[in-house]
Amino acid sequence: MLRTTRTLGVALVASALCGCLGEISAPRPVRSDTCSSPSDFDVPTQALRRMTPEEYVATGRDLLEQPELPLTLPEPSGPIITEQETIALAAAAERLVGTGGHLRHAPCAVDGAHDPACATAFIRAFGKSAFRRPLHPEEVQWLEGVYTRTRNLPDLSPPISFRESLDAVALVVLQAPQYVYHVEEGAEDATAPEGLRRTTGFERAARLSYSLWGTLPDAELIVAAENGMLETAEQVRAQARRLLEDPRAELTVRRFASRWLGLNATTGTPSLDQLTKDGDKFPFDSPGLRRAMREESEALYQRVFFQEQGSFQSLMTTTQAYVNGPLAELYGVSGGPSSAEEFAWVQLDPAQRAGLFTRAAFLAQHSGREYQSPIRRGVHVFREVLCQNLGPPPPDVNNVPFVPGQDGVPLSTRQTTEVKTQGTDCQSCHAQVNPLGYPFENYDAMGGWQTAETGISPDGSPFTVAVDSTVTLPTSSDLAGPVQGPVAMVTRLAQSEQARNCMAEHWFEHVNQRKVTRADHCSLSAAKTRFAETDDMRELVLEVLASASTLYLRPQAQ
Amino acid sequence: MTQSRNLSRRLLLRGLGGLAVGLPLLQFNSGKAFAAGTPRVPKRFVVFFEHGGTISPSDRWGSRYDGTGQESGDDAWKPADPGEALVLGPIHQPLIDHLDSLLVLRGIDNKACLEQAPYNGSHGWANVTALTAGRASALEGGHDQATSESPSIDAVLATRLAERNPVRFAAVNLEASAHNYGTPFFRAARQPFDGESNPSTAFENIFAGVSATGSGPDPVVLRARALKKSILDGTDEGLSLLKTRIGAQDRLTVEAHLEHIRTLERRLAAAATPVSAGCILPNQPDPEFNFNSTEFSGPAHVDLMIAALRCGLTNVVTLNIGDMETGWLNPPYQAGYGIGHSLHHAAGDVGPQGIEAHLYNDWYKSMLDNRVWRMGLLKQFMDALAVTPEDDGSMLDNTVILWTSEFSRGVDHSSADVPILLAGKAGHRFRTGRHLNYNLKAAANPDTLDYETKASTHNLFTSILNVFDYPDTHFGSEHAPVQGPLAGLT
Repeated sequence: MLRTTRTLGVALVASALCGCLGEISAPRPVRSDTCSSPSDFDVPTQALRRMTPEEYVATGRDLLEQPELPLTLPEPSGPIITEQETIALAAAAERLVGTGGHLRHAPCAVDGAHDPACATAFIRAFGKSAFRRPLHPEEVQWLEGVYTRTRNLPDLSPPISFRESLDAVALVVLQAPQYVYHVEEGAEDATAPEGLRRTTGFERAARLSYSLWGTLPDAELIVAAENGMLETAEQVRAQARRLLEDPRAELTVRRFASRWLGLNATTGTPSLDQLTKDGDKFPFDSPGLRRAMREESEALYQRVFFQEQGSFQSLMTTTQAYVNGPLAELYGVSGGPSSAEEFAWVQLDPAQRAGLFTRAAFLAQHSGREYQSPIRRGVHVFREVLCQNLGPPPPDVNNVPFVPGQDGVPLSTRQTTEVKTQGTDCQSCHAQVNPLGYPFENYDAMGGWQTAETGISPDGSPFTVAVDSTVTLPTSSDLAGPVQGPVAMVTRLAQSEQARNCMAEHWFEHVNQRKVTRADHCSLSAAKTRFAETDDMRELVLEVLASASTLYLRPQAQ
Repeated sequence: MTQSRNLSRRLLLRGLGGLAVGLPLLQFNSGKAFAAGTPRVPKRFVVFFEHGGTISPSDRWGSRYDGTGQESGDDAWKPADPGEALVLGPIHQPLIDHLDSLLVLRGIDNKACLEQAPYNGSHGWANVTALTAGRASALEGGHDQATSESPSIDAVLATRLAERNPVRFAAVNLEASAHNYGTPFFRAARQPFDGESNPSTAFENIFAGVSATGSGPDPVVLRARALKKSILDGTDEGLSLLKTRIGAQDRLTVEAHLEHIRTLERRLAAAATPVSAGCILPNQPDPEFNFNSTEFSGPAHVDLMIAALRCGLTNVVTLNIGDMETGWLNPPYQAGYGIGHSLHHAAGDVGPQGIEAHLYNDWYKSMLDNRVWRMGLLKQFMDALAVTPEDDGSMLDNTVILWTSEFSRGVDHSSADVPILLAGKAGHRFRTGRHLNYNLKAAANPDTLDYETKASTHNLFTSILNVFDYPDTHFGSEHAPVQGPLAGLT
């Protein structure tokens, strides 16, 4: 199903950005501090963040040791929880408690008589795991009150049992804000930069585990927090490195890849799996092929990240591909897997494919039903690979995808795009965006290689037009200059400092689950420098996690 | 979805499922409230909100397309006859059996949008003002992002009617989910809300613990309710505890969460409210069925709306209809992205001078079929209410149904001359079976393309409050040219 959406997505209307209100701007502004001393580092005030549905599911399963439990939560509609989401939380909590997994925290027989001391022990143990820290005294008192009130509910036959009372406490815990939100209070620290509080060991443990695993801290992290072994940046970095080497980090990397490539449903755009493609033109298309496309891109990112020194260069230029039979056929690979079930690593034609942006997932996602969309591809590169700002198009822009040809004149998709965006208003944006998409014209709407396009004239007669993927990139980025074709384009991206810095920003935001702000300048600069020195995305992530963005917080005004 | 299309609807639903969202009894900040009287009719308020507008020639600057240029100039919303005696136009044909219960209103603007929105109209601003007629504010994320500073008409009525006529749910809000650009429903300032989109979940929310008429309190239900109350109270206490430890900004987040918990607590307390005589519980919808398509979720939700009203569980029901492409009708025009949004935009290209002039017939059929299918949901609803006896007539006689959209013409994002259909007789207060056109230019020439109006949704919503015997003199913001109700409705 097409997800219900809230806002106009540029990708949806990217067929024409005529009259774009936005202003092309330089890369996101940052403060020009020297960052020469610890006091130069800053962090922004952060709003209370609710667990994502993925985090809630993973946390619940881990907390109750139910790794296979079917559990879902709706995508949040905003930072403030809705009533439906509140109801969904209750349903998820019921499902979790229904497994009985919480009862292992009770140091007594739960099917026997009421045992208030055991209930208190349960509250302390289960609460500590769930809240990712020891409970405050008033929290123990609160949950003891829940237990007592529940066991004493009047006029019920039979009376509420001990186990039912513990279940009620667990249900409260699993819907409690202390569980559902990432609550951080920090601690006073005279050595902290002005206005900041040091995050506690438990808060740092939770930061690391949710950043890299998307779930609860493990026992080793909790022990480290309890023993004061998360006090220094180096201690934090060491634990982060351990987590990064754990297989549980793979899912985080895969999710990053999909988000960066724009493969998921967003405002106004279906996911790669839900896109509509023309069945007549692409009879080989299938849900399985879409899944294979996504799998290939995620697997490629994962392989580069963990097995090829996290190299950005490799990510952008490698010819390795993880394909099944249908995807191998799309790429024109011979001798590879022959069935949809069989996946294998193969080498692609280096004249046609290099790196993540020459793969079917990205190319098909940023295309129309029948024809590729140089605008949508260009917008994605402009925004997500170069981190340049682009304003939204006018609300009434025609979003019918372009098809080759104009008024009966045979034109390629690129030529049609040029004709339809040639107006002065259009050019304020399209002069920057379109050239970033034109080098990918050698890929059709499914990501297949093409050197010519066919179209149908209004009179029904077919025509064929050669593809032109040569372009002079504008001076608005460090890619400027002539480029011939997609491989040259992605090679340029691999060498781009701007693209590398943009990658650093994306990882910073992914790890911290928030947007970069000016206050992050020093932390982000250090991460960018480390990334430039090593070309290793793992080192980039470690630098972010050991930075002020993890070690400190800025309290809100009361 | 192919597997599901071959199944009968009855088999699919195995009962009726729907999403229930009860409104908290918040203080409203729109509408000039006063102590409610005691009239019993009209009893219910219903909103069918369709996203994406209709087949209309009205642009957002107040002029009309004549259909000779690049743009289509069709108007399939207008009645077949310009006179006051209603003769249904193309889109309303499914409602022919209920002609005497309809009021087709034309020439009414959403002035709150026209006066506030960038470009004179945009998705975000049109949606947040469509049912609020209120002030709106821009949100981060672009010029198209906005939120309302006041509640929507349904929320205001839900609060007031629940005070007058206590029910289990102040409102039942459902959503035939498909692409859209934001909800028009606002519980209060900056509190948008969505209806439940899954009929199975909705069924559970609405009918859990509801016993058919005549059965006594179920001890099992009472026990579960007592436990649930203790858990809700515990969650409430946890939120209150956290509030004392966080900053001012986060307190707002926690307070909103707390309000939801308290709504659930109130709803639980209201669960003891007796159901109406003759309440027949619907069957449980198949929880395994994939209701992702509005082809199935739309009719299923309407069945739930009917059952909720017949059982007396609420005074207000709403259905938010997303902007779907009705692929199951085999539309001959293939829109770009499989969503209705692309279909509307093609209206700008299929005129005789447009780049898709050759596709005009296909496009018109696709658009009309789509809108007629939507109207079929209202027919399903009205059919059921019309055969539900109440007082000396039917439930339909005591109901006010509002059908509207954020746009008249989707491609232009026009909030001028928005489509408005009132159905039901409002306790015989509305003089129905009529067509009223508030376009001042139409008085001299009913077929004119010229357009001028002083009527706004502000006036419409005031009229609706009035027929519920709330003597408000104005609803919404200051953007209405004149205050008061619409002329000629009653």
